[in-house]
Amino acid sequence: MSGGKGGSQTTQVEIPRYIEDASRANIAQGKEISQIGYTPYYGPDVAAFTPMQAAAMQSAANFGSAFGMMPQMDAMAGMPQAQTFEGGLRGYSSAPLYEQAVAELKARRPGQAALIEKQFINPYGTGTDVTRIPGFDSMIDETGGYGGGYGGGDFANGRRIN
Amino acid sequence: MAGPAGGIQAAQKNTQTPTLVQANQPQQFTQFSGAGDPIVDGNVAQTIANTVGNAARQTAAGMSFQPINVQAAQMQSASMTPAEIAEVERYKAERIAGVGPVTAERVQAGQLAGTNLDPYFNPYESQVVQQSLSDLERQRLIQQNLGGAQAQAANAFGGSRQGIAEAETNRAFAEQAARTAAGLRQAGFTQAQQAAQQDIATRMQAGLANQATGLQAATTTANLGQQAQLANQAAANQAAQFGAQSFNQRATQQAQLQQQAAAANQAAQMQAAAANQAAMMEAQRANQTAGLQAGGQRLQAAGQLANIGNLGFGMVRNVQQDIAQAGLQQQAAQQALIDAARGQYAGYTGAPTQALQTQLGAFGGSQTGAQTQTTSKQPGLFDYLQLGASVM
Repeated sequence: MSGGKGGSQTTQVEIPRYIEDASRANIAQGKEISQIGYTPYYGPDVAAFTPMQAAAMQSAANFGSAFGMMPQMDAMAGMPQAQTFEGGLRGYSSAPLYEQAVAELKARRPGQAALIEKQFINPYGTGTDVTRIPGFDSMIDETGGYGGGYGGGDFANGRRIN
Repeated sequence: MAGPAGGIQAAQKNTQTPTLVQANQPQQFTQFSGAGDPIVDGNVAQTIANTVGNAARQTAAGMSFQPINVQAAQMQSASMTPAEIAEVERYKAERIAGVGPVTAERVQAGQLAGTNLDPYFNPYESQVVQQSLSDLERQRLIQQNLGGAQAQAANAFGGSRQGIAEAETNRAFAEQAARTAAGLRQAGFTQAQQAAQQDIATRMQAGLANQATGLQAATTTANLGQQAQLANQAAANQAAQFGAQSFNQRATQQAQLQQQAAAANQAAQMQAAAANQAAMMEAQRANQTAGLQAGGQRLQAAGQLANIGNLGFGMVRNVQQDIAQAGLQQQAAQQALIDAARGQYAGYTGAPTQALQTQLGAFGGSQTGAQTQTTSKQPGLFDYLQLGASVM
């Protein structure tokens, strides 16, 4: 803007209303999503050896023992016990190792673990202990909800959080 | 007495043995490292190596020839035995031992004093004395009866004269009885003493006679013994001289025989050495031939062992690769499981940052850039001057 003997010029930038409402909703939704925390995976991570593979390994071990290379032993010794999942699939899950590591962190460094978990809801609760932005509910009531994608204008078809 | 000259020296035993030719020892087959190792149960490669190695060793051992050494028979000359040495020692002059001292018996003179006279008394002396007294008593009684008869005839029986006459008669008989008994006993004692003295004298004479006889006998025995010893000494010396001459003659013969035996031994040794040398050369040739054959067979066995070893090595290598592959697969599976756990742990520890990024993303995503810009202008003095100048 300039003024004086040469006159003056004013420039004003404004965000559209629908953009502003969507941004507020996004921020509010990001606030809630960020409180979910880490969700472990309890399914299989690594497939177990098939019986044919185990038989081949045992055969190789038997040969090695016959040639004096190694003592007679179980070829699958040292491997963890495989779990059977849906459909008969056998594999190994990293969930037990993960939970052991988290428990070890809580035991050795309880402060760090507590501050980490303080950022999130209780993973073993009902999820109602989420912290929301003040006025966010009224904002949703005013707009009739949000949803349909970020920046979308169809707030009326959006879902409610609770 | 010295031994026979030269006899003992010539009779030394010949113990020298000829030098025998030793053939070369068979070479030991030690090319295989597994030779002599115990067979390992279940170890196929080691078992094969041991089997081939043992076969090769037995082959090599069976192809080595050991020649028989010819031992020359040793002719042993007669040597002096301990009995013969003792015999040499026996050729010495005999020594007479001499006779013992001639001793005479000691004659002990007898003594009457202390001699028991009881054996010399008359054992019937008391009966003689008693009989004499009985005779006197009977005479006294006869005399008394005669006096009584005379007194009665004189009608003086019982008178004092008869009493005195009887008393006198009794006294005379009593004195006669005492003298008779004393005389008898005195005569007995004297007779016993004389008998004892006669015995002492007789023993004295016997002792003197025995002493003289014993001395003469001992002297005679000593003379005879010394004569016998002198005779034996002469005979022994004569026999020793004869034995020494015989021994010397025999020793000379033995020395000659020993020399002959030594010569024979030397010849036998030379023959044995020659035989051994020939046997050694033959054995060396046989060993050389056998060694060449064994070498060829060892090479063949070594080639077979090498092929078996290569086969076993290849099998071992394949098995080793299979085992290593299985180990790698198992290790990779566990590593993948660990990586997955680490990923989840990273998700847990990175959840706050991720949440912050979520919020920042929500905030940043809201900045779409959609905006409305409105510009308004109020002209100034120069704007108007410029506008006027442009018009003119």
